[in-house]
Amino acid sequence: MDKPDASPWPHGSEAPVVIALTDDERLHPMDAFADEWPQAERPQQEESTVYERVPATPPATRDVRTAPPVQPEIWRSQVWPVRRWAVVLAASVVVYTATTLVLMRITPRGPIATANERSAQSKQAVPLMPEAVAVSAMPRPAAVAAAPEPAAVVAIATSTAEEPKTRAVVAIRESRRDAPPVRSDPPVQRVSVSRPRTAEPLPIAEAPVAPLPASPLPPAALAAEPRRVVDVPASPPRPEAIAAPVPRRSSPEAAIQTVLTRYQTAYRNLDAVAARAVWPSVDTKALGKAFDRLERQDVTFDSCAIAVSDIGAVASCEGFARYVPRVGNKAPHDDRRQWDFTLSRVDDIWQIDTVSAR
Amino acid sequence: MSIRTPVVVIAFAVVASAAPAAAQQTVSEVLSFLLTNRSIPTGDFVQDARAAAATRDTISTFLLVELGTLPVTSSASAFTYRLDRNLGTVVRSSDSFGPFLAERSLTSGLLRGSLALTYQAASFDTVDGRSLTDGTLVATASRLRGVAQPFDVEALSLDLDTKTMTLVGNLGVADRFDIGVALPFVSLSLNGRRVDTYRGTALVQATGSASASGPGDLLIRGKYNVLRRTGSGLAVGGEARLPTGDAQNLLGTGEASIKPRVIASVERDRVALHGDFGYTMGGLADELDYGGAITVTGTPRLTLVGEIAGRRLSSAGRLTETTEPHPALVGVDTIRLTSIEGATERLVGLVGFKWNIAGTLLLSANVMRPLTSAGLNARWMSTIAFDYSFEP
Repeated sequence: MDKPDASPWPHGSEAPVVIALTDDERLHPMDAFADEWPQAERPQQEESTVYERVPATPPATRDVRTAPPVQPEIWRSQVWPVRRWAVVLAASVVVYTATTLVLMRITPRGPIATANERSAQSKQAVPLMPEAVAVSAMPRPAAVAAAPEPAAVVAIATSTAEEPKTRAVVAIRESRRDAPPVRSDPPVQRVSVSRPRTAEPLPIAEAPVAPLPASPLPPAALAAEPRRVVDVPASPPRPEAIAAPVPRRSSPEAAIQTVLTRYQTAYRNLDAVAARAVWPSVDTKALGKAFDRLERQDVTFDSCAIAVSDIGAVASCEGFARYVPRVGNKAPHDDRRQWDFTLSRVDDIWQIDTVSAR
Repeated sequence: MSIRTPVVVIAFAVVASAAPAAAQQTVSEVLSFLLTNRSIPTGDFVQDARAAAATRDTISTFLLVELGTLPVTSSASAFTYRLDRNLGTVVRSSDSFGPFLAERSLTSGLLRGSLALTYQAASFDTVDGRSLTDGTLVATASRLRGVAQPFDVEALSLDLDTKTMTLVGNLGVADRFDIGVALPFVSLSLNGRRVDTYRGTALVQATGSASASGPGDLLIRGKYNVLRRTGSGLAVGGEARLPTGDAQNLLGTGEASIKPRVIASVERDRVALHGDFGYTMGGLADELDYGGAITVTGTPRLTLVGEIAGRRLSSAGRLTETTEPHPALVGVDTIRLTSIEGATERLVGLVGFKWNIAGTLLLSANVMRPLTSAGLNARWMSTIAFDYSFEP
């Protein structure tokens, strides 16, 4: 309890306390103020003296006059690495979360799915469903065209017919030919595909490639002797669109098959602009007008024979086309057809030069 | 909508429209009766009868010419989708449903066909520029020489109405070759009155009426598309008319005819031009047919049509008045309505539309108006049609 200020004794004591000095204190009276000495100037003591200390002024009141503590080297080496790992861990969590959120986009079954679900879907057996088709293409979309000479495999998957038909997912995996595959960051991009109408799932499994005994195409169609002639069965259509990464196809036949699949997709979606992406020389106006007169169209290649030469390729596909006109008989019309494509490679990208259907 | 429905409707309409020809006197006989002088003492009744017969024949020819002006073209090609080899997809053959009278170069396509039922009504009111209905058509007259107005006049008024229902079928027997058939069922009614006016006093001399209905001349057609580029192209065709109609009742010509024709079409995005030239041999008279049409695609389901169709009949004759001195009365001339040899030029204009109601069913309507005074003319002639296209 505080005493009144009128106390005649300093420090608020009621009465002075008299402490008798020891002999040592008498010999070294300055030791009582040892804490007030700067550390550097503190006189060295060769031996410590144990003495009984009287209650004194709290040392805290004198800390302001002491030098700041110097952190020992061992402490720094143990604490800072832990912080770095924590930061890295936190950043990883943030990146993982962001990536997961990006991946949780439109999926074939609904608007949300995790990457694990996506991966699981990609491993499922491929069921048949005529309304969907696998799509993959060698040419890169414009969004990634500026990348320096990557061999890109673009997988396009649109939503199913039951879903809103205005979105698609494009997974792009790029890799240099002379370097191990490097995953771009971010690895998944979303793009809008104009007027998609039907689901276009992605072929996961590599289509079996079997050599043909002879090419059904006239050799004159190629300026040089074809290097390879392969018969690529059409990828079985699947009911769901999958945006999972696609195994990279480096062979020309696979790339051409991808172009043909994109051609199918464009025709199925009645999308003349998409058709021009793989067939730059097409009369887009005429094609658009033709598409405008159709309510629906389905193009399916049962099989394609592809012959690749040094300067280009030809592909002959057999299949059928089903269409429903906007004006006239609404019953679906089925036509058995054969398509003959000539393709060329421009800047390492395969594209269609001409199409002849019959 | 199955094909059975329109067939039943058309069959019912055909049966309902077919009625037996009027008994007793034929339309031709009644017309002769009305045209023959009854009261004016011309002194030459043989000449009167000859003039009456010539006039009757010319009017009959004019009438049959009009009955033969039928919109029998097919619109099936607008429902045809053909594979464009270079585009790799099907394209609609044409956005236009085509014209009414003029042909188009496009064909329907293999095994694609159409059935159509057209109804056309006309009430004729002038013949060679003379009114038929107001009683001013002078058949026979006597006048004093040097005086403009006759003192004794027999004038004729005729109400001549036709209703034609035509069943039209068209079928593509090959991708570029169509055949077609058209069978009109004609209902004709004639009411006439001959009035004699002597020095201002009018007196009815004769009245007559007749009606007939039945099939007209059967039309068989063929068209081959020689050149085709989308909706444009060139075609050649032929048309034969078989004398299946009752000539005495003016339902048919009584003579077969054949007409080769050339058809050219130019189609752009929304506008198409069609030209059709043909020459008919046999029948009433040799005849040069020509027509031009412009079609505008309002929407993919609606086509607006404007057309001009001309016919030049080499020997259909023209009505005229002849003046001869009275064989017995000095200073009196006899005026007779008769016909002289000569070509007849006919030109009609048409506006209309073709509307795709649903599926492959078309509703078409048009009105025609004569642009020349020659021949038998109605102020307006209207047509409505239903056209159903089918494919296997």
